[in-house]
Amino acid sequence: MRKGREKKMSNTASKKISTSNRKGQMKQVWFRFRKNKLAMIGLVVITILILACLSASLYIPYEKVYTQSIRDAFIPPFSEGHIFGTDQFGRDLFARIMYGGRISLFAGLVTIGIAFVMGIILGGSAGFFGGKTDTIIMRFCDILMSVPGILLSMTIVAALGQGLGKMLIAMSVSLIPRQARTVRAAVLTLRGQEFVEAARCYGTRNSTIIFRHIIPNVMGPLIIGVMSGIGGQILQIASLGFLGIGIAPPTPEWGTIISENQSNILFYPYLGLVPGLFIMVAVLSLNFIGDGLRDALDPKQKN
Amino acid sequence: MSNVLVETKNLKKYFPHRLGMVHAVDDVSLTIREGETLGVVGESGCGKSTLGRAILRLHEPTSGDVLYDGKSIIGLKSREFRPFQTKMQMVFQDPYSSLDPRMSVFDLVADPLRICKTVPKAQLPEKVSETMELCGLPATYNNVYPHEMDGGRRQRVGLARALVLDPKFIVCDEPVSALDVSIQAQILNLLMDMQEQRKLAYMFITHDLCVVRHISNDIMVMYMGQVVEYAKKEEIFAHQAHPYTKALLSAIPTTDLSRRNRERHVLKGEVSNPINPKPGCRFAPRCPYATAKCSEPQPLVEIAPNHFVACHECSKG
Amino acid sequence: MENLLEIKDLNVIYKTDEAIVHALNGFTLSVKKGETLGLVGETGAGKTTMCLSTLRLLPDQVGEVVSGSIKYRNIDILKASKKEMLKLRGAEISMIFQDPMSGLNPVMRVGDQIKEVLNLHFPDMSPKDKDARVDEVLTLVGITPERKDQFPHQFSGGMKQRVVIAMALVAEPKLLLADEPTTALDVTIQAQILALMRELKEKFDSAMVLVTHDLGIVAEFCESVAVAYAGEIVESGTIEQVFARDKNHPYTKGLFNCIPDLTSTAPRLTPIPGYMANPRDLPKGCKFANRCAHCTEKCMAAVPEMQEVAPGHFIKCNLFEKGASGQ
Repeated sequence: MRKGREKKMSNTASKKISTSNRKGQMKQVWFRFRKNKLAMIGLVVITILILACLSASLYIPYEKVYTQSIRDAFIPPFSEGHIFGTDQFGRDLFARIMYGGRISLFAGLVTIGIAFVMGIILGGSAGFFGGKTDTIIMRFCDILMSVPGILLSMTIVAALGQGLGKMLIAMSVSLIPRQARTVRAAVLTLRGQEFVEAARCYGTRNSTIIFRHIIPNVMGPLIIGVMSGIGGQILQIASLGFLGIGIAPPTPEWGTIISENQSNILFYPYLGLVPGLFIMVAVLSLNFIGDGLRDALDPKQKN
Repeated sequence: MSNVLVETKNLKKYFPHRLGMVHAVDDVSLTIREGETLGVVGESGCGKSTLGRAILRLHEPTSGDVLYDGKSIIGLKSREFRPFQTKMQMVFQDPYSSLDPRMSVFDLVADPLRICKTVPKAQLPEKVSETMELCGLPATYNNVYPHEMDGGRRQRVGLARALVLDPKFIVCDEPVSALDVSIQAQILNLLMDMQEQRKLAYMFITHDLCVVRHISNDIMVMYMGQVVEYAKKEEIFAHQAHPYTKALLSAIPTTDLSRRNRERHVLKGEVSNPINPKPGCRFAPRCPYATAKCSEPQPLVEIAPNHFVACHECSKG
Repeated sequence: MENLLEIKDLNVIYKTDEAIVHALNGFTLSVKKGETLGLVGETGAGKTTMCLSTLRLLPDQVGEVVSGSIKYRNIDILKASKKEMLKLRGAEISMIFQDPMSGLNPVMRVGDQIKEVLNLHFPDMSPKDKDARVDEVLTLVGITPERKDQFPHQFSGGMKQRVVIAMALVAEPKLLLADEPTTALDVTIQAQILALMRELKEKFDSAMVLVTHDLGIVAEFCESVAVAYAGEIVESGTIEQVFARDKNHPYTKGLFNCIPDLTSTAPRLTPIPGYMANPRDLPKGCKFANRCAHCTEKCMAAVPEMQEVAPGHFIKCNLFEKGASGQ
């Protein structure tokens, strides 16, 4: 009697489900992401920032970035024609920040992108295959990690030569080992789980296991690691620039702007505050997005 | 009697260890017939799970052979092995870690079909919902994720995933030991219903003798990688011979109050690791009847028709 | 005999981000001096919550006692000061946890871990006496005192559980809460540990609440039994009364029917249909109603009263109402 009733119920239910389309995986992730207010704010802010930087040439003439005039030095913010004021050479801070943002954001995103992908590949194969593969990859990472990041980047730039692209490679290399470690640790715990064994039981190939079962499950810690690294990356471009490698002044870039104004910050704090604020907002937004993404990718946070 | 479906011959699986070789499965020969269940009983670390995995080649055996339907499956390349793989499946112990947390129930059950492509793509949704229904999961569960379900329902998903390929043989590795008693009975009944409907053969791995008595036709008792007793269920419960089997049986707490003050063989000591074991009975250090003769190798001897025991004391007379 | 522990109408909730989990709903239980009580129940029955409430160890911010009382001798546990609780824990009431691996500090020698209990409760004891006491209690649980300088990872599962028991017993508590002490262990080791616990309990004359899901263990080990379902006791009585199987709560009956045993010949088990009630959204009436074959309108409407079907044998079910014919 009871069983019959249950069966009837499930039949009607199954009809309902089959008519309504199953929501796509990406759609569900987007649905969950949208529920996170902070992440949405972060997404909106970073989008505005990127668009504003990219379209800078539409509303700021290019010459403004480099035009020097001692007469106009240290004009305070909110003055006519110089909304963020000017620096010691009389260059417009607003123009420099908007043009500089192109390099900073681009470099930041690209380096973490490279580190992200390489981290998955290296850490993933080290953790999954174990044995010799693991030893070789991880010892190599240990060597890279034992060298201070900035020194490593300098060495690589020295070997490869100057240029934005080469600098990006140099910076990502110093990020990869940490990323690879995170992935490897996560993969090691996952590899022993029974669901991986179950997949193997019906003949799933190693590559499929890695892409279908392992990587989606390590996404969370990975995204967080990568997103929180981006702020450091923006600042590191500056330090490299300061040392004369990579982006050299007078090319604007957020970190460089701070470092070239270092000596005047005490008397004209806005020179440090304004670009600092931009870095902070960008980093914070990206961190919020990272948090939101981690939660959205996790089906446990369904509602 | 029905045909022999799965057979192992002197199957061995050793694992390297810091201190030597762990003899996890040592020289196990068994046969499982179509539509029947072999219960494998033993305590943790006795190699019962490794045995199940070695038969499915999840662990490549060190030596010995596994036959499915008379054909050896050891040493086959992955393409040659594929048709066997769909016929031999496994249900896992832990309903929590055996399901990918990022997949919905539908995807979990559909995954084997997507990998093995045993049914045309167009029929996949139908096959999946049919199997889910069979395991007591109505289509309302399609979009549910494992963490939203309790252990019993998760184990139903695990069973559906194994059944969706229409296997003939399933290794059940402690499928109910992580479940509540009231749910245990549901899953056991489901397993038995499936067996009746589809003539499935099971290898049922467990430490619970009551469960094994309920579901099995044959029973094999393992201790530290070796078979110590192997017989028909009725035979083993009526005339258990090996001291370890006896101890195991008497250690089970029962709800029968009349048995409350029965004489019990409480074993001393604990199971150790079978690392580079000496020849001879591995149970001897804990055995109340151990003699000098126990240090000699103990072969399985047929003491009654189809009743094998590895103990010189029992096979004597 | 006087009651050592008395829990009355206890309601405990866990507050999570999404919902309120009703862990205990009018939980009533009393333990007599020197008695061994088996508390049976499945996941979510509130067994562990009851132990934690008694020691006031519910997780901060999350777990909360809404109403009810817990009395140990004449101390009101819910109103006792922190200082009083510190004195009670370990010395008067102690607990054995399910997982012996997580109950021990992995970087501390086992002897020192046991001694720590003595340091807390017997600060006046001389170091020499403490050492002697540690040796004594280790011997009692079947571990040679020479092993006290070893670390937990050098012990096997069963041995670790012995250490945990030694820790729980070293201050000679009057009440022992054992939360599934043998679930993580093998059958033959379980038999050893249960025999040991019985022996020690008799030696120290302490009362024990043995929390388990295994009716067999209760039958062999306890004098009285309480069956919990969804945060309340649905049946309690002596072992003989409950295990006689003539008058039982439908849930207890269901439990008996769904465990395979060594003598039955039925081809199939009789499971309890359905699943445990969701503690976030409990039914208004009897919590077992939707799984029960004898469910009536009345069961759905209100929580049934506890009925005394025989002296000391209580069943919380409308079937046994005074005047009703019963089963």
